[in-house]
Amino acid sequence: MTKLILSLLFIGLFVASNPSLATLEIDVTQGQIAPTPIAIPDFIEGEGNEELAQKIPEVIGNDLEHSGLFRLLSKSSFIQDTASALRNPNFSEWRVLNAQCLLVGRVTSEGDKITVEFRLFDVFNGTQMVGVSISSNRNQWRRVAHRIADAVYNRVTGEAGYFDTRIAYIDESGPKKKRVRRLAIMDWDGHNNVYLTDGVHMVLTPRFSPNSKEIAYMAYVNKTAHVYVINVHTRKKRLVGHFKGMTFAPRFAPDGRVLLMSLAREGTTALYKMDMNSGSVSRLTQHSCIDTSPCFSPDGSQIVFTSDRSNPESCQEKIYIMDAHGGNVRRISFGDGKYSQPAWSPRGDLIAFTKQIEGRFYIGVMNVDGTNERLIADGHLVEAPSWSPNGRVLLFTKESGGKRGNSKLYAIDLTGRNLRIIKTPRDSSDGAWSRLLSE
Amino acid sequence: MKRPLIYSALLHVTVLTLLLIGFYNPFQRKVSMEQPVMIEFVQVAEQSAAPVLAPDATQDIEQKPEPPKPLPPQPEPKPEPPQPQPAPPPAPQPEPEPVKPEPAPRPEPKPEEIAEPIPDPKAKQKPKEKPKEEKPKQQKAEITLEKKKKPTVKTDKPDNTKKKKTSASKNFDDLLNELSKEESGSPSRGKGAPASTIGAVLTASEKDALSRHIAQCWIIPAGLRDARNIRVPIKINVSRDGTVQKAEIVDKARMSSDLSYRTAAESARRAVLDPRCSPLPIPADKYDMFKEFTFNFDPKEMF
Repeated sequence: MTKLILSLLFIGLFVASNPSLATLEIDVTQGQIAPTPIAIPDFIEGEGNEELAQKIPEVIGNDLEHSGLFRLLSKSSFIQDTASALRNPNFSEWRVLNAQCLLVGRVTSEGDKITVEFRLFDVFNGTQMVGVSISSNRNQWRRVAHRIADAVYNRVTGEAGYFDTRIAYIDESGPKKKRVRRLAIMDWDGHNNVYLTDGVHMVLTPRFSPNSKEIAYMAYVNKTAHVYVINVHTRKKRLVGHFKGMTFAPRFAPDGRVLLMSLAREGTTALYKMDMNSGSVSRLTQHSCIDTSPCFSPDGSQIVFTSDRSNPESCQEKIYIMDAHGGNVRRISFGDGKYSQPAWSPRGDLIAFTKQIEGRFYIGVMNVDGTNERLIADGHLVEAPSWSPNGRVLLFTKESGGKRGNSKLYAIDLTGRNLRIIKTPRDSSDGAWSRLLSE
Repeated sequence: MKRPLIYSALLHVTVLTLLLIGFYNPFQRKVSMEQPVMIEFVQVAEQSAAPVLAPDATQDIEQKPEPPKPLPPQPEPKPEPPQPQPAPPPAPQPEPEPVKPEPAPRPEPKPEEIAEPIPDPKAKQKPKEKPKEEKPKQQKAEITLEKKKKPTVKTDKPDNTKKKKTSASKNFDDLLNELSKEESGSPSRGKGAPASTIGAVLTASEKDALSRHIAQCWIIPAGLRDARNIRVPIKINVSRDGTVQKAEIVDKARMSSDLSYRTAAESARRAVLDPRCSPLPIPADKYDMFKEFTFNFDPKEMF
């Protein structure tokens, strides 16, 4: 017996110490930063849904491709039909096409209500990644498609999507000297465009409320700055306040109860906050210099803004951060040039800004402590960065020079890749990205 | 009765101390093999002392720092042998090309889909569940397979060790001699890759060739969050022709808690399973080392 125990122990120890069991390890440190190939065949249609079964995958495909992280495979190359793929995907037939992911779905309807069932498969691994069904009114089919695109984006990249969103912007038309500016809102992909103001008064700087149901903006009426809040659905607007002199860029606090803005009073431009219920205004910065462009951090505890307080004579504005009540001001940007329009990322980790140096404009991002500044877009005039709700994409205005120069909205990935124009009916500027509408 | 007990106790102590000392050498070798792939090829060349390949490795040291290209000439001849042998997976490269042409209209598939009767709603749910069920099954199978493998190794050894035991009971010195012989790596043990040869026989260029081969198929989403803190080990089983039979993400717990890790891990698994990269160019004569091995996918250098 003892011999047996001994021999077992011996064997155990011997095996444990035997390096022959150490598995071979090979490091792979390089890969391809490339879009993931995805196959999206037309969805299966129930009765009367033929059009949607084709259009919904088109919208999904457009969303995903626009993100730069997916590449759509040509439908003409597909071997398996959707019906059987939905029931039992033959992965080898999709593998041959080098489709890493496969999205199949079905549209059914009952009266005015449509239900879209979809499944996303990891083709190489032969497993289902997501399977969800979404119901909605028929006239909301584009939103259903955007939500499916969000689900696919989220499952494959690990980040929240940004497709079920809207963009508020300033529509520009007419000659340069007599420009007509109207507030407009549309789906992020340029569809369902609606004008919210008539263009009689010049409007500026639209900003979504945290629930994306209201937009705060400025309008110049009789040369006086008026701050309005308009309801996106009812289109009713209410005057929040009107101020003599220059007023800039009202922005909501994350709780929606406070509006931040900068006002020019008593010879200085300082930051103020306005209580949305009472309408009372209180001053946040006490300084003889110019403080502008305030923006809350996502948790509402801090405010980022620009100021020329370090060198008022040079007009070289830099970026500062302070606590929400106005104290503990510290400078975070130390590079050359003039910084403006800081926007805090919804993720909380980065601050986007416009930078002007040697006659050229740039859109850049930096860490919250001012380190790791990166310029990701440039142009004759680029300005007004606004974050996508997932903090991954920046929307900005790009104006080309010259007499015929136009102004358009562009989106660029945080990495500086995938610059794309955002479709608008006419010239556009000052875009603001809503949060996910499904939130 | 007491004698055997005392013997066994003494034997334990000696064997333990011996093995504890023995632990370090193989361990150090393992570490020194891992580091060089990333940083210093000099050490690899020294250790991977295969008679013919050693000079090649020294060439690598000189050429590597400047351009990464000089390496191909070495690995290329090696991958070639496995490639011609079998090509079981569906033709990889030629077919993706037809996919590239500009998107063609969809009239062809459409009529088929319309013709397809929509199956009853219950049928919908079944496929949904099936893949989900398969997953856990596979995982379980993988775990059990691993467990099975280890015993087989163990059962090989008792034969040897039993012999030792008999000799050990006669004389401790004999046992010590035998042990030291074993640790020095006697090739006479036949089955599988001899312990210490793993690091020594597989050259840096062979490792590099495999790494670069799989890198072609590893598609990482741009701007992956926390890429600096991600390192994905994928356990691989290949058949003799280099075809990947199983690719298992090792850290399953982190898969469910860390979405960036899940993204990286799934992309890594897809790379290994990508038909374009299968079969793997493993040296035909070193298959024993590749029965089960690990790819460590590390994207930090890419961002």
